[in-house]
Amino acid sequence: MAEVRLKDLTKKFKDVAAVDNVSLNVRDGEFLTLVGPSGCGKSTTLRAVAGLENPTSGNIFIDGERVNDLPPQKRHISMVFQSYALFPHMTVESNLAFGLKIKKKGPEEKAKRVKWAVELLGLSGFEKRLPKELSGGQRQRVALGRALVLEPKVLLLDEPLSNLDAKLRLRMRTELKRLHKKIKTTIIYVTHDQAEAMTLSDRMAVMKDGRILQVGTPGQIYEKPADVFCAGFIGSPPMNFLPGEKVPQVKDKNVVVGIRPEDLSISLSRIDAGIWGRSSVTETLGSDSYLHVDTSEGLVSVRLKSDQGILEDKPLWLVSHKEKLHLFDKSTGRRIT
Amino acid sequence: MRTLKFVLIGVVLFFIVFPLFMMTKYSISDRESIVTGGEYPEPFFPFQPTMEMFGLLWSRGDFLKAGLTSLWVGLLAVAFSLLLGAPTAYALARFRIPGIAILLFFLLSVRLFPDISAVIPVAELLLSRPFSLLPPVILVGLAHTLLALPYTVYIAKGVFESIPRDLEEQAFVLGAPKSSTFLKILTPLALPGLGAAAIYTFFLSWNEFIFAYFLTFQGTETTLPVYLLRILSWSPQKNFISAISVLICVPVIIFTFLVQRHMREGLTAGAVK
Repeated sequence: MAEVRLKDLTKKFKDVAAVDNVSLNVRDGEFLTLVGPSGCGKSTTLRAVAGLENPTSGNIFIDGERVNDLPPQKRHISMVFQSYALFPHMTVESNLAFGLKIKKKGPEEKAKRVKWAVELLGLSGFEKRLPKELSGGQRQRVALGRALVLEPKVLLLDEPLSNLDAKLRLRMRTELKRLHKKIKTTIIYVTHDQAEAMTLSDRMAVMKDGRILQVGTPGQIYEKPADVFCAGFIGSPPMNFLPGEKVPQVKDKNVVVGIRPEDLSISLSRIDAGIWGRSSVTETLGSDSYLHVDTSEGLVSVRLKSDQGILEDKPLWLVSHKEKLHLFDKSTGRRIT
Repeated sequence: MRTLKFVLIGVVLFFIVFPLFMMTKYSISDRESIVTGGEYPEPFFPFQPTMEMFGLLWSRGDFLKAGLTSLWVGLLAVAFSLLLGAPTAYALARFRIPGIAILLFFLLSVRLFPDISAVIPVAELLLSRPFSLLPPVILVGLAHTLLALPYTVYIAKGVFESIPRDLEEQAFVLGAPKSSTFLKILTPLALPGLGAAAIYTFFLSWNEFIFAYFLTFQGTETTLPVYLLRILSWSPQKNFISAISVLICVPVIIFTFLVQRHMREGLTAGAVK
């Protein structure tokens, strides 16, 4: 277990800064997620912590020790790649034991730790199989186990679930969370999937264009997104954005108003504080349904209450409590508190 | 269309199989089947098939010696071209090297000339000191390495490029130094592909005539193709010369059958995704 500190970390490829002056503290035992669209620098940040990329400038500390000049194997980290990178010519057992063998652990300890990983990850009976004889979920667990047997201070996970099908992904998400609860290792997790980040993280860092825009618990970021990007990126379906002058409660053209679909309610009769629109289509996601409403500012999505029937192609008014509105500065995109 | 397809396949097959058939047929022919004196047509199959010529060859020390020379030359060429080619290919596949296009061009240059012109400078070099002090087997092996190296490098480059970089980085993260990553991860994965390069090199060497001829025609130690020419120079009977040809072909055919299945198996299946 350890804390990881990034101080003004910058990584440039040629002239492009993939990671741009990033500072971040990952607490001991924390599950921290770097989340953002592809190309936002989250993987590069992770690879820099792993020691696979040399920072152009800035420092990385693990447990207070500056590790910039240490090779990966001396950083007490372990990493799971998006591709799992299982060694295809080795059995599950040999894959799991690879790092232990390199570290010259005795046969007894090796066997003990491999057994621990096999049991922890439910891989009993598969020890002698080759990676190609495993399902996607099993491969993913082998990759995880191979990292865990080394008892790393920090576990780095680079989109470990993105190669799994949707159902398995949800299951592995839960398993990963339970696992973290059990082993309490510091985990830095990279994903582009905001739902994954929301469900897994103790805290998350939203990244864009090589910068960290906001760090906080999933709840904090959802409730108080720091800017328009975070607001739109976190939450599904995404937040609606309307120009300030079109929202009767605001009437300010220097402001962008963000409203989450669940914070809107529908009225079939005219309301002065409401926004007029015409209902278009309904989307049902099982427990929730969303109505898309055609307004003069484009489509706005609204979460329907369970007792609301089908409302397609009707004129209606949308309202929200004033305190539920998120106001952002139109020119900078930053939140106005 | 169907008929045309079969006719075309038939024609192609005929051109491939017929010479092989004739060669085999002559090699087991008895005297009456080839020396007809125009009195009767040559039979489609020998009257009295015989292994006599093979027995004769087996008893001749010079044939076996040439066979062994060919074998050694081939193995040397394989060893040299892999030892030089695999690391080169790895470097080309993984690192950005300035002026790489020029390097690759020079690598190929020896194959850009016809062999008969390329052989002159190469023989000139290898037949003067200090190279001339080396045994002919090594000289021919070196010459064949020169011929095979471009292909070895190109094949091996493709092999290394097909091995995901993730695997190396993963080994690195798990604590493996470069040397054990190369030995324990890369080499086993590259082996089938490098095997293909090795087989290619061996066949090239086994068949190669011009370089071997220029480098060994003065001495007694020659490879099989050069040996075949020497025999031809005293106009032997068809059956004798055909038996030599068969014996040169057989190892190639057997070997190809044995290894082609292994070469096709992609060992990297299951590594990623």
